[in-house]
Amino acid sequence: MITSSLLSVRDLRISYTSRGVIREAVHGVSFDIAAGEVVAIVGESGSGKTTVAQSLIGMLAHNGAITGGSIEFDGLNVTRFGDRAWRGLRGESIGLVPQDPTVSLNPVMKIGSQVAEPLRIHRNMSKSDAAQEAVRILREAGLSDPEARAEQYPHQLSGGMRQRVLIGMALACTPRLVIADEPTSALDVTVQRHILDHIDELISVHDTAMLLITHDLAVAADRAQRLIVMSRGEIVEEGRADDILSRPGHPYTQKLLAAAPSLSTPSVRRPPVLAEGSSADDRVVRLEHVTKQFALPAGGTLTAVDDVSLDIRRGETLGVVGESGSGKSTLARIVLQLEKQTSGEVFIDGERMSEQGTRGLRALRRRMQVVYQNPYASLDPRYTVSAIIEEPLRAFRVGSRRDQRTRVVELLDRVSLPADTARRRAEELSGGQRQRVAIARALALSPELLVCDEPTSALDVSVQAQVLDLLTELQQDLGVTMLFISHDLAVVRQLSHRVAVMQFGVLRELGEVEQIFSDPTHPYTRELLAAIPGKELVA
Amino acid sequence: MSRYLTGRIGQAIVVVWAAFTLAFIILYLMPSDPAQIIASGGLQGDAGSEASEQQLDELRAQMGLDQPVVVQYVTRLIDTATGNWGTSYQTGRPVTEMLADNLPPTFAIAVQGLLIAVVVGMLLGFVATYTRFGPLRQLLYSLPSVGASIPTFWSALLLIQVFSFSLRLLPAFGNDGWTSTILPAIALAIPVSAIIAQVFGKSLRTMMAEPFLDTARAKGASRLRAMAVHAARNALLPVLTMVGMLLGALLSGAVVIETVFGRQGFGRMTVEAVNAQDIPVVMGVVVFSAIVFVVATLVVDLLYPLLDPRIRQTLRPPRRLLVKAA
Repeated sequence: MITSSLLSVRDLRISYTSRGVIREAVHGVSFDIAAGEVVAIVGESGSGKTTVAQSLIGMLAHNGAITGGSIEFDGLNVTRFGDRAWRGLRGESIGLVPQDPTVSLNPVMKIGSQVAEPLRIHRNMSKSDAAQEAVRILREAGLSDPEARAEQYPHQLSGGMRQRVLIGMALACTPRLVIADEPTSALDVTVQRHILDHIDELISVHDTAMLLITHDLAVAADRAQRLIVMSRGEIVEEGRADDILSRPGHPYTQKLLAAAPSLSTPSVRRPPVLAEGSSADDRVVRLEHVTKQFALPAGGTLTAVDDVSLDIRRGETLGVVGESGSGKSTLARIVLQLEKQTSGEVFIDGERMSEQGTRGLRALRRRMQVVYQNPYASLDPRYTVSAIIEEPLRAFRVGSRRDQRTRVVELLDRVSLPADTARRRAEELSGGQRQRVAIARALALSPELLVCDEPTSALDVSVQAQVLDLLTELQQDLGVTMLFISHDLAVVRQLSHRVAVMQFGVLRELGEVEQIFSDPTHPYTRELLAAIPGKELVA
Repeated sequence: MSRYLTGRIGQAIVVVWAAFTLAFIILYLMPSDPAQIIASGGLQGDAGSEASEQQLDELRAQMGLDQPVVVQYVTRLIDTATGNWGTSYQTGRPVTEMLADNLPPTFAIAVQGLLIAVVVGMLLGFVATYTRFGPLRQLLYSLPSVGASIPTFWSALLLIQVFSFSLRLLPAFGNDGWTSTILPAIALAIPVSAIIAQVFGKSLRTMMAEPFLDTARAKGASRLRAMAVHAARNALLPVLTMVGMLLGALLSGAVVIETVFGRQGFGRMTVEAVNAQDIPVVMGVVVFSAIVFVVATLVVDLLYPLLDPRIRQTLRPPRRLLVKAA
C-alpha cells in the first residue's frame, strides 16, 4: 500500500509562531495519495486544509514550520527539504493551481512568458522553444486563439480564462501531483463547471494525481474519488466520496452535509407570504422598464440593467440570481435608490421615486435597509457593536439614548447574540457574528424591505445555514419583505418565494421558485441549474 | 492617446500659469522698490550714489512700474509667454541668458545625483528585502531614515573633509571639470536615494506578499528570480511617481550644495537673486522650476504605460489637476 502511494503523509504536525506564541494548526494528519488518484480535502476556514496543502509544496508562511511527522513524495522524504531542494520539485513534479485567478498572475508580464517560465526553469528551454511550447499549453488548457492570448496581459482575460492559464502553467512540466487550492471558488458556477471538467480531463490524460482543497462538499464529492474531511487541524473522516455522502460517520461531516445547500433536500426555509394577491398596495417594490447604463472609460456605454420590470410583494422574498456582471447588484442599488436608473420608473410603496427629492428619499431610506456581502468590510472594526447598531437610530433621531440602548439589547436578542456583545468591538467578532450584527443594524429602524446582497457568500457553510435560518425566522416574525441577491442557486431556492434570473442585465426568467427549479423555460436557467455541483449525488 | 496628450499639456500650461501668477502676487506685495534697487546698482551698490526722486520716476515709467497692477501683470504674462523674461536688476543681462549660463553646471550634478540616487536607492531597497540575515536587514532598513534625516550641508562638509582634505582624491570647490561634479552629486543623492530606498523597499515587500509571487515560487522560481523578474517591475511604479517629485528635492538641494561647494549654478543664482531682490530673475527661476516639474510629471505619466500594460488601455486625462507640481 505504502509503496504504491505517490504521496504519503504521516502524523504531520504544523505550527505557527506569532509574537513568540507557538500555536499548532495541524495536529497529526496522515493520508496517502496514489499515482493518478484524485483526493479532496474538505473543511471550513480554520480547518488547516490550506496549511496542509502549503506544506506539501514547501510553501508554508514564513512563521509556519513542520514540527512533527513526515511527508514522503515519490520515494523522497521531503519533510526537511530546504528551499533549493524544493525548487527542483515545484513546478516540475508538483504543480499548484492557486485560489484566485484574478490576483495570481503577474499583471505586467505577458501570458506567454508566464506560462513558459516553468519550462525555462526546469527544462532549460531556449526562449523561442519555450514560447512555442507555451502556445501549445494554452491550446491544451482550452483557450481559443492561443497565439494571440500568449501576447496578451492578464487583465485582458476573464477570470475563467486566467484560471485556464494557471492550470496550463501548473501542468506545463507534466507533474505527478497537482495541488488545487479552491481552484474555482472565485468563479461563476457555469465557469466553475467547465474549468473543473477540464482539469479532470487533463490529469486523466497525463495520469496526474490531484489533491483538491475545497470548502465545498458538493464540488469535492463531484470530482474526487476519495474525501478527507478536516476540522480544527484534524482529519475527522476519510473515505470514498459516495460512502461519505450517503453515510457520513462523524457528526462534523453530518453537520457539513446538512448545511450544504445543494446537497440537502430543498427546504423549508420559506414562511408563507403574508399578503397574497397583487393589488397595488401589496407591492412594496415595483420596477417598470428600468434601464441603467454606465459610461465606460474607454468610451461607449455598458448597459448594466436592461429594461427590467418586476415587483416584490409584501412579505415575500424575491431571489435574484445571476453570475458576475449580470447586473443583479446594480438592480439592488437601484431599488435602494443608491443609484439612479437611466430610464424607467421605480415605485416603493406606490410612490414614484423619480419625483422624490432628497428629503423624500431620506424618509424612504428608513423603510429600506441593506445587508452587504462582506461583514469584514461593512462594519467599522473599531466601533463597538452597540455603536454600530445605534447608528441608524441616531441618524433618524429615534427615541432617547436610553430607548436606543434598550433597542440594541432587543435587537441583539433578535439575532441570537448575547447582550454583552454590545460592548465588544466588531474586530473581535467572527464572520458569522459580524453578519448577525449587520442584520441587527439593518433591522434597527424596523424596515419594510430588507435588501440582502450575497449576505452569506463570505461565510462558511455551517455559518451560512445559521444566517439563512435567522433571515427566515425574521421574515416569519416581522413580516419583512426581502430582496435576496445571490450567485448561489441552492441558497436562493431555500429562501425565496419567487426567483428572478438575470444575465447580461436582462431579466431572463421570473417565476415561482418551484417552477424555476423543476421546469425552467429559459435555456440560461437550465444551464445554471446544470452547473450546480453535487446535484447528481442527491438526485 | 493624442487626446490624452493634449489634455495633459493643457493641464501643464495651467500649472505653469498658476505658478507665474502666484509668484507675481507675492513679489508685487513685497515692500521693495525695484527702481530704487536698480538705481543703486543692486543692493551691493554703494549707498553714496543716491538717485534723485525724478530719476526714480523716470526709471519707473521706463519699466512700466507706474502702470496699474493688472496692466503690469498682463504685460509680464505676455512677455514671459513670448520668451522675453526681462533683464536682471543686478547684472543688466537678460534673464534667459543667465538661465542658459547657470543651468548646465546644475544639470550636470542633478542628473548624476539622480542616477546615483536611483541606482543606490533601488539596490538598497532590493537587498534589504532580499536578505534574510537579520542584522544586515535591520541595518539596511535603518539606513534610509538616517540618510533622509542628515542635513545636506553637513553631509556635503563631511564629504569635502574626507575626500578632498584627507584623501585628496577630488576637488572641494569650484566648477573645474567633471571631477568637481562628483562630490556635489553624491551629496545631492544621499537624501534622494534614501527616499527611493524606502519607497522601493516598501513596495517590494508589498509585492512579495502578492499571490502572483506564490504562483512564481510554485513554478520553481528561486527567491531571487521571483523578486527580480516578478516583484521588481511591479514595485517600480511607485518609484517612478517619486522620481518626478524628487526633481524638486534635487533643485532645492542644489541651492544648498552649490553654496557649500562654491559652485556657480542655478541654485547659487537663485540665492543671489533672492538676496538682491532681483525680481525678474526670481520670476524666471519660479517659472522655469514650474516648467521642469510639469515636464517631469508628464514624462513620468507617459512612462507609466510602458511599465504597466493595465494603464495602456485606459489612457485619458485625469479629472483633477496635478497640484503637486505647483
